[in-house]
Amino acid sequence: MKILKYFLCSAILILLLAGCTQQQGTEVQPEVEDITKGILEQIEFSEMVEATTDNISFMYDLNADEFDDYSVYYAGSGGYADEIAVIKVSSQDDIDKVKTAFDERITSRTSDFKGYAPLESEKLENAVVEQKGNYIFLAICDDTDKAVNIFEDSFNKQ
Amino acid sequence: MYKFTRNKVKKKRYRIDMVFLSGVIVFAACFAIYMFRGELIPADEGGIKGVSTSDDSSLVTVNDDSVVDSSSSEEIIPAETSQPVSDVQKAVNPVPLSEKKDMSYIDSCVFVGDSLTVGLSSYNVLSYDKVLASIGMNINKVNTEPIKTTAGTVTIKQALLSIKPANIYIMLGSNGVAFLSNETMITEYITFVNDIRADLPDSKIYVISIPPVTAQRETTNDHPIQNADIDVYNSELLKMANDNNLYFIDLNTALKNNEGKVDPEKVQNDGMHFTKDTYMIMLDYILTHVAS
Repeated sequence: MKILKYFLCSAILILLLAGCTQQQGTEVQPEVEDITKGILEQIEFSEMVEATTDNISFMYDLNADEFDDYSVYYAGSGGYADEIAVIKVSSQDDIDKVKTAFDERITSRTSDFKGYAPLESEKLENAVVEQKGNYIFLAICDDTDKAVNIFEDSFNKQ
Repeated sequence: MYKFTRNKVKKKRYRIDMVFLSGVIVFAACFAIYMFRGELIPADEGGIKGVSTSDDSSLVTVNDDSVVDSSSSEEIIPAETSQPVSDVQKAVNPVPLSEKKDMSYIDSCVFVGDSLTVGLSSYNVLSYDKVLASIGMNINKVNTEPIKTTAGTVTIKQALLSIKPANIYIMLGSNGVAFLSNETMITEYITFVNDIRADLPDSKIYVISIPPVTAQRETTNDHPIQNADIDVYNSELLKMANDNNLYFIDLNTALKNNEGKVDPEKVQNDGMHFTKDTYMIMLDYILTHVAS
């Protein structure tokens, strides 16, 4: 009986430890292109452009070469505010810098479209900036909730 | 007897005066007919009096009663006029087809405008330093509102003075055509252009027609724009260009369909902003319509 009790306790402990190991999802490092392309496929956008380092520099005052990886798409037309950006930083010091840049981007675009295009202004009102580990995410689109779900789900994949 | 003589003398003077007066009237009538016939030159039906593309260029004017023919996608065909050439107004307008320049020509250019012009850089058709534009830019804000440029957040004029481009292309008016009077817009346009020219006298200034919209954009509940209003504004731009020695780029000959509107395939869902392919059409038109 005692041996059985010890055996059961050990088994429970082992199972708990195993479960804790499984729950450390932040170890998953999705490809940034998979995130943005998944969003572009599942949400309707105007004609989008894949951002170059020059575009990123002009849009966010950021040097994309400093980051581990990035994937940014934005509406090429001056009449639309659509934008999806994922930046994976290599240094924790860069997290706040990127988040601030994304927040400022939303502010300046809000000013650009104010009184000019109500539908685009609405997208900007619902815009989000999210962080998960060393990934920072910006979404300005028709369905921000869906975009955020796609971003977050990408970290749950094996 | 004296009295009779006096009357006789009076009658003679009266007749001579009448003869002289009649002669003057006849001469004046002949002169008026000559001058009238000499100036009576009929313009083309429904068109703008244009400029011959020959070296003997003459003034281009817009008939008050005429409207730019918006039903044709052809270039505006100039009518002949015998008006004398002004020493000041020598621009040939609309700028005719020329030998195609290669992309190195763009090194000497800068493009000024609103959200339509923003697309030139945001689609990476041109680099950011070639574009001085912002989304809500309008002719009544162009002199005062700073914009983001590669040289910082400055007014368009400040940026132009910094760059000193040889060729300045301006496309403005789409943001105001639906609610600002043409008189206001043209007045502001002239002020802007003269302000630039005072500091950049050697720069060529090209005024680009504002583009057409789709049929759907004319009837939408959300900021409708009429192609008829666009056409009238563009005809005023042409007149302004000729009155002020500017060059006029009639980009709409490359954009309009047979109904005088733009095909939906050439623009975004808003019926106005270009697709990337349409920006390439615009770039090709710029490179093939360079003033000599």
